[in-house]
Amino acid sequence: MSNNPTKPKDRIKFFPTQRVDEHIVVMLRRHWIIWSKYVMQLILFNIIPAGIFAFLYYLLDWTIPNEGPIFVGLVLLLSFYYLSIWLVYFHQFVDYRLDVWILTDQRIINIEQQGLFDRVISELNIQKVQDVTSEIRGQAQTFLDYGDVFVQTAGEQQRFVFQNVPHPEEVARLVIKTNDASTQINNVNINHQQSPQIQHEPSSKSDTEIK
Amino acid sequence: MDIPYYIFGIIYLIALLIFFAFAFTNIYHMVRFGFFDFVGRLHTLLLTAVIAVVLFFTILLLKDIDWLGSFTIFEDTLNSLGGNFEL
Repeated sequence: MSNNPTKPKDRIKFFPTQRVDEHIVVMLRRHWIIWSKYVMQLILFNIIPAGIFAFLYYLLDWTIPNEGPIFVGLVLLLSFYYLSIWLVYFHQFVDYRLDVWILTDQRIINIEQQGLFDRVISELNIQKVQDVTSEIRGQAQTFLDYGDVFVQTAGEQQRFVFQNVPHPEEVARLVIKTNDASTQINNVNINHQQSPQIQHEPSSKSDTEIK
Repeated sequence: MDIPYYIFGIIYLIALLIFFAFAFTNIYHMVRFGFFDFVGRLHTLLLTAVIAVVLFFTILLLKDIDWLGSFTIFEDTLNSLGGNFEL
């Protein structure tokens, strides 16, 4: 799974609330190392019952009869246990997958899934970005090149945080670059709207020259 | 005291209902909000497969159980205390 946000094959072309004239610069999720922790937990929890039974069987010579209340209770308990741990993993994966930060040429969109029924979506006009900071802390983040990006804004929500995203320095540069490009386009549009009025003003100097 | 085996089944089915409610909610979130791409579909398929496998083995192991039968608990313990109990 490649995590370079600028490689063409990683670019997502559209998202549900995208505007007609809006283009995605980058779509970010948390680094795969966060997801891998959930996978390791899942593997561990899958192994635990087998380990316990192996210990009881080989070291204590304990066997389970294949009938009776103990057998029935144990089978149903184990069944529910395995269903539960896989559901917990799937819930963690959904939470990881649904936390998305989208940088477009017009706005920054922050989508955070907080629990099963809480979903927070924040949007920021890209021209309101005032300051961008990237942070990489610790050995793991340094070696795997992931960290946080803080976007200071002039909007109601003063700070956007991209948490544990890959290549945070490059992401910060992209935000600034997109902000600069959007500001330049806005200035060009303003000048273009003002220029017809300037052309229609009479020039006293030219009148003098004609005479 | 005689306890029928189907009590286990009832408790398990109630737990299973709660499980399926949460599973459905999570899958709904993934499909509705999660840009349902290859990775999302793979995980959804994986969860479905695991559910099927676990339920299959559960049924396989318990298919020969007489659910209408019962088992006795506590009576031997109470009798060993010197009484003659029949519950």
